[in-house]
Amino acid sequence: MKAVSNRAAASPPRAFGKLPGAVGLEAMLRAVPVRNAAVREGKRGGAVVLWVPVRRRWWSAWPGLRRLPWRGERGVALDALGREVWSACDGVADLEAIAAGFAQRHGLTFHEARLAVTRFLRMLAGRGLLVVVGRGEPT
Amino acid sequence: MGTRRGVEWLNLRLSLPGDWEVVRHAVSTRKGALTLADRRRQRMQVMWTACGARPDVGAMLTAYRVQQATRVRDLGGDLLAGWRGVCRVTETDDGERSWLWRAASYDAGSRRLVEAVWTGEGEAAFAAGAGVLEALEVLGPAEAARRVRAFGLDVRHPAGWRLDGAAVRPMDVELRWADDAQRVVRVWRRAGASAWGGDDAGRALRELAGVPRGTALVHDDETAAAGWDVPGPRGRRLVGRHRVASASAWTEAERDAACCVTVEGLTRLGVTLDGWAVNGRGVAG
Repeated sequence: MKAVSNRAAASPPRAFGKLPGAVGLEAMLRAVPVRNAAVREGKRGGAVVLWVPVRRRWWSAWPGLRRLPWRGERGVALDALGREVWSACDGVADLEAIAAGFAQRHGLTFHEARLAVTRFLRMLAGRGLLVVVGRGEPT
Repeated sequence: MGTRRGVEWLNLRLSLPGDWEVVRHAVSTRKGALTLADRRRQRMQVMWTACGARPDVGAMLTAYRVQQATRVRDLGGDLLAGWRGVCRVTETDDGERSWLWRAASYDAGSRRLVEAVWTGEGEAAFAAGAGVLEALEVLGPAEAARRVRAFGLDVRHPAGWRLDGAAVRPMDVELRWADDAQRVVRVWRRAGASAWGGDDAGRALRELAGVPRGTALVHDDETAAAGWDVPGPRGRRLVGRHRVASASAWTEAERDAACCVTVEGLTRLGVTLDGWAVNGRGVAG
């Protein structure tokens, strides 16, 4: 672990990452993570594994490659914190509610929890396990 | 008024509204700032500057008024006790107004100028910022600070140590102090301990303090006071790179977090955590 040394006051280090502008942050907090319906949950050892179908590439249909044992799913194992956030993604709760609940359970501040949850959701979205649906600006 | 959040940083003591928190920080004793935000937006910036002589706060604010092209109202000396300030009101073509307050105060005892800038809409926003300034205390010069209370850590330490660095990451906070004898003290708080095995104090110590692989702890029991000797490559002792460390780690079950404190030095002399306390717990090591 590396400590950050003194920095100039003109560019102080950001705690808990970059704070987006007011509109961007508000829209982000109102967004709702929705699970991919094709994902199935399994267990391997003590860990929960999420299996998401893998799309076959065009070249995998070539003669000679067809017989190869292509995997049909890709697994993502979750630790206890990951399981907690995944189970909170029920398609109704928005990001603010998920982050606030996470902060309360683990004694964190809101922005600390927000950044941790957002990073994790971004990773899940990148692997096709969920999408984050924006609700748009309040009227 | 709801619950308040106490923050102490470089001998500035603040009492923040419950949903406000520090999102940016500086560790320089000469000049720096703390940025405060609520859930939705940045609310306030509190800045400090060490001064050689008393600055003319009134002239500073007048210069600010002249510099600003928009309408600036001088709030005079009665903004708050001990604070002088100005208010800038900007009006867009759509008729929307935004307010920005700027206030400054000089503490003669510590020779520090403290400034605050906050924004918002209307009197409620002004009152929130004014409440923070009313409760703000300058306890002394930044170099003389003996306590840090922020980011889920409350650290009290003896004289002679200066805050040298702060790495604040989500669920993983590390503060570092140094002294003139090239000793370094590091304090960690890592949340979610039950998920990464940090609820075992021995494992928390190895994970957080980065005890080199294969190094036997001198002392590793449930009280979690431990020490180790890191000789490093041959010849390190000759060039003064030999480090001796002493550490203490524990878990905080109610917050699902693990904390760890280490002190490192060049010799065994003085590598002790006597006088240090973290989150109300005296540290042994």
